Amino acid sequence: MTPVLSVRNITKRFGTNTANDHVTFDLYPGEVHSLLGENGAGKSTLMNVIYGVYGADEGEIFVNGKRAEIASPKEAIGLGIGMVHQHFMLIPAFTVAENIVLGMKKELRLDMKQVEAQILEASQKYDLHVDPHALVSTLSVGEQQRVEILKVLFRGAKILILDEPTAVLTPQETEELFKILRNLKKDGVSVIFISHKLNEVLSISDRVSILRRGKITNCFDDLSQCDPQVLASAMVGYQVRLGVDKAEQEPGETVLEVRDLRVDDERKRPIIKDFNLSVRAGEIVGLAGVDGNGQSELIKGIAGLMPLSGGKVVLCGQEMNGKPPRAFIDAGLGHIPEDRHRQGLVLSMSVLENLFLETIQDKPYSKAHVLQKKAITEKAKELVEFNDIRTASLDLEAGALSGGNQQKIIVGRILDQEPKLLIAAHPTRGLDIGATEFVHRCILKARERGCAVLLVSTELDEILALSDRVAVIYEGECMGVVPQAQATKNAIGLLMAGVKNKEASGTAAS
Amino acid sequence: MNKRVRSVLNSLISVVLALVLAFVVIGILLMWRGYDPAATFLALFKGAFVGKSNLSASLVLAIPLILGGLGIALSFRCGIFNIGGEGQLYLGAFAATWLGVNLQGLPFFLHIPICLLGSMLFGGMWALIPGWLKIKKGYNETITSVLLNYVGLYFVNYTLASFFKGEGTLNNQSPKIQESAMLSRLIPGTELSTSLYLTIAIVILFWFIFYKTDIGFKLRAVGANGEAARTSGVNTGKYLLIAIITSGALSGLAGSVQILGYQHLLVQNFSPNTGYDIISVALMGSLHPVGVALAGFLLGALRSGASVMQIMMGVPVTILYIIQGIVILSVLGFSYAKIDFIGLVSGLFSDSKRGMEKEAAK
Amino acid sequence: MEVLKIFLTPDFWSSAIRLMTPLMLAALGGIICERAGILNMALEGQILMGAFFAYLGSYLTQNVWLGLVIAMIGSMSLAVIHAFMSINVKVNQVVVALGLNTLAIGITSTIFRFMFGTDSQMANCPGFKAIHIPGLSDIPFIGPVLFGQYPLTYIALLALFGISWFLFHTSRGLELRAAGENPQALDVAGVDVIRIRWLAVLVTGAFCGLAGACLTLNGLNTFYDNISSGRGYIAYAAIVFGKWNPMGTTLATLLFGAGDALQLRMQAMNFNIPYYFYLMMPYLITFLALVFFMGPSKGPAASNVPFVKDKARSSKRRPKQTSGIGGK
Repeated sequence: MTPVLSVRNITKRFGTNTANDHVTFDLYPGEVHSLLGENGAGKSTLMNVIYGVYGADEGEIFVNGKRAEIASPKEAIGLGIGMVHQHFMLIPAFTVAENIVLGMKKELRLDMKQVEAQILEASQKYDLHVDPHALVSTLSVGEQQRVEILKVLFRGAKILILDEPTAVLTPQETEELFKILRNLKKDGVSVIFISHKLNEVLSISDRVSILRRGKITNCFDDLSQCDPQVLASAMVGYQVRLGVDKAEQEPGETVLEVRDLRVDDERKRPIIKDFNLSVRAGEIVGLAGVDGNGQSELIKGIAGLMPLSGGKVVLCGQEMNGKPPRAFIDAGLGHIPEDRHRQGLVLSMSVLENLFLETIQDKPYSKAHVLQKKAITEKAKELVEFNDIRTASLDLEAGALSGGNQQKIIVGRILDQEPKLLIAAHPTRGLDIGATEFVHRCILKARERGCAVLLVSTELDEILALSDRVAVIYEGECMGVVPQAQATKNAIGLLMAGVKNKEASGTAAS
Repeated sequence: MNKRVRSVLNSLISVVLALVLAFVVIGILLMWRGYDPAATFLALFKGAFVGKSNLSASLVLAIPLILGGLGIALSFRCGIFNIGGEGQLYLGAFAATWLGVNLQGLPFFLHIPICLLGSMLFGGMWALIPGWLKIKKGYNETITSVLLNYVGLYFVNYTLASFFKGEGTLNNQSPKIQESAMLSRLIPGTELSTSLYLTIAIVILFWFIFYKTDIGFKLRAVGANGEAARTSGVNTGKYLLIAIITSGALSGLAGSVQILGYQHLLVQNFSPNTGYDIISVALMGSLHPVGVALAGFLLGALRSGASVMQIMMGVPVTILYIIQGIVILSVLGFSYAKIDFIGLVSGLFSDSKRGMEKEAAK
Repeated sequence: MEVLKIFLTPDFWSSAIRLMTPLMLAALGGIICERAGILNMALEGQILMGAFFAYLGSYLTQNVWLGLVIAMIGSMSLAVIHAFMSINVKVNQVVVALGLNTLAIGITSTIFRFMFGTDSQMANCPGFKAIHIPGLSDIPFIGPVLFGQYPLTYIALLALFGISWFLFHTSRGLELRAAGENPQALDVAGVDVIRIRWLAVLVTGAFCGLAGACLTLNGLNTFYDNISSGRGYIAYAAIVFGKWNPMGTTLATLLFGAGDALQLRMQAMNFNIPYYFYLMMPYLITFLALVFFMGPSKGPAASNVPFVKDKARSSKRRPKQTSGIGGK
């Protein structure tokens, strides 16, 4: 059988960094072939080469046995290749039909009624139910993903590339997606499934290839012999033990108290609805939930970055409502923000300056508003060394560092202030395993020191490994707080999908 | 090579290249119209730099450009595109003149500071309108500030035609300011006044605050990434307001130093287009205080030289705007395209392998 | 009140429409560019170029229509630089416009002096004549207001319907709007974003040429320095005011046209107020209208965001910082 897609010796470099190094990869008709690798292993680069977004420096691509020059997405689409990007390529201000038809029509006149009818027909054919007339901005994440898949199939794709499709889904929605994929397989569609989640890959794939540092290191043709441990070790290249060491510890007094918190967005729509949560000294409370369920707003509410429309935030016994962000920091808040580029760092300023974003006005770094160069440099050197921040010089722009080192700047400077409450929002997002381990160690060390930690993450594995208690947020509401012992993947998954069971709500009061 | 030295050199080279490009374009234009480009440029150069009176005229023109340019640089660096310098400058000049005319019997050491502060207050408040609208309401400050330019300009013209019109003159101009409000001359027979010292002091102070204090640190952080600054506890609204008010105040000062320094009364359109030229100065100076000072001096010199050139060669001064436009666009182009001239040059002299290592080290 | 009577005369409305025409042309052109994701603060400079080259072309060829073509070429030459700088070099679109506006002042005033000397004896060029559409212009009130206008006004009206249809009822219009909302999505759909944005900027330039021609060829038939006097900024304000919609924007320019017409009428009424006060009015009205009746409004999501092909990488290094430049 000839593969529908065959990639031979693809090499792609960015400057001196080789993102793909002689990658060879086959996809057969009607199979789901997963591509597994760490962040930065080169998965997205490879897919973008196949989809014509980047040109490869070396190598060839064959589609249905014929050599193909794919110089642009347009040509990829013409060859029957479709891609669903990790960040959806949808236009919120357009309707579903407008999004789907975009770029498809040669003729000038656009008859939306006719287009909508065609889309409805296709959505029934593939069992992907969407309303063509709805604005994309009104759809849920799961629905948006369906639109993306339909968009690709509507263009006649036979090869479907899914880049981290489950990152934004609940376990239940993921099952739903897998059902769709199995249906598509029957129709002869081949799927490249990109993920770093081991269990999902095992459950959906026919074959798995491992990409590490730009190279294909393994290809597992028979998955019956595989377990997550084997895949994980192959992925990072050395034996890893899944899980972290954590000592038992009795939590102290309550540090953060959130009572009936309400936060509205810019358009005055309620996002956080009567949220209750408390975090005690020396404990880690994990906040699980699918991305976009109000985590950002909750964090910003607790950190004083967004106005509250109701309820209260009590930090170390002080009521914080209406106070500026500075007051929260002074009261003992340390905040590792979710988006390190937008909120955590000033990329155009130096590594040194980024280490002092909170503390620059304090003694001994400033005296009578004048910066004290000596004290600043000494402290910076200490922080860089202590946190193993790899930088050529302190004067280097923070933007020039790798993601892991950037995150170390933030984690290092925040924990150095010895906060009483640490909010760690998606602290390991986009980091490789080494940096992830470092961040986890830092968080656990803070806990040992008696810091109260609120860990927000969409990675259920991370939450379950670190937390003493797990809270679940769904559409801005707290679905329940579960002690670690009772927090199974299934139970949390149901809460993340908005299904409240009695057991969970019974413990929510604690 | 030190990274900072390298970036300074790169900026300098890009400005020089931009100037060369501008002069080539102007040279072609001149030849088309039958002028001698060499003689014209020589007249421009002599008029700008040669001789005590020419040089001091250049400085006189540079002073408002530097002051205003600093303000624009500050607001641009904080992400506020205040292009309302023209209106702020006219209102500042109006305030200084009004105080200079109507306050009587004050000693000069009180009268002059009061006039200068008055102009800064008026300029700052005029800038505060678009600034406040942007920070609190999210309005596009470019459009509001430029509309206020016209409002401010016509308002001042209106006052000069009505209640602030000097007696015994047919022109629309204000009465003369009191002696006690006039800045003293540095060089007799020229228009250069002690405002030169003021300007130098403000450039140094500006540089010091911007780079050597925690206030400047926060201004820079707010400008480069407001959200990160806010997350780390900086009151961004406060710093943005400081930036915009300072920006307007400096534009106002750019107006008042001209009145107190040598004009001594307010005439309609007394400083045409200066409010826009300061934007050119800020951009040519890469939004850095020292760069702004150099760019302001350069543009002042070109302006002063150009009027000599117009008299001697008959070439219109308006070619300056072509030069300005080309220089701004090229400097912006070079900086956004991240062209590394030093790297290019050193690449020419060393073999390719070493050049690549340098690239990798960056 | 005598002032109120002004509003009842067809003469007033006729002149309001005449005065709104350049704003309308520039603003309609600006919408195209804005919708494609290029913030266009250079309307001012392009109008100025259009005005000068309309005059120059009409003077040199002694043909007003050729003058119009030359006007469009003139303003589009500025648009070429704008497109190159903001699309290819990816310079901040506000800042590049400031440079262009300065350049436009330089080019127009200098060539004007070169051609006609510094003590310009106003050399007149052929100009447009008002066209009275037979039959329709005899309708009372509406006739003289709408159907006794200069040709460029009719062109502007055609453009209004043409642009509305193009933006909302054609495939290319959909793609153009997508380029302004999410260029990455358009790119992966296989459409060339760079090409669309280039074309949009050039078309905007052509419209500004027409707008500039209104200033010099509709009765004035000469040129003076900086004749555009902020109309480009007012046109931009009209776009914001009209929420990036052709019809709304046109109504906004009517408001400003009426303000201008009123100001001229009031000057003639001799209230013993220096005329600078009246000169100030259109700008003040625009400003107050923006602030009090409009509120901040959201433009196309990707306005003033350069399109970078390998966004996945570059966005990591250079996130969009300091938002809110583009009326957002």
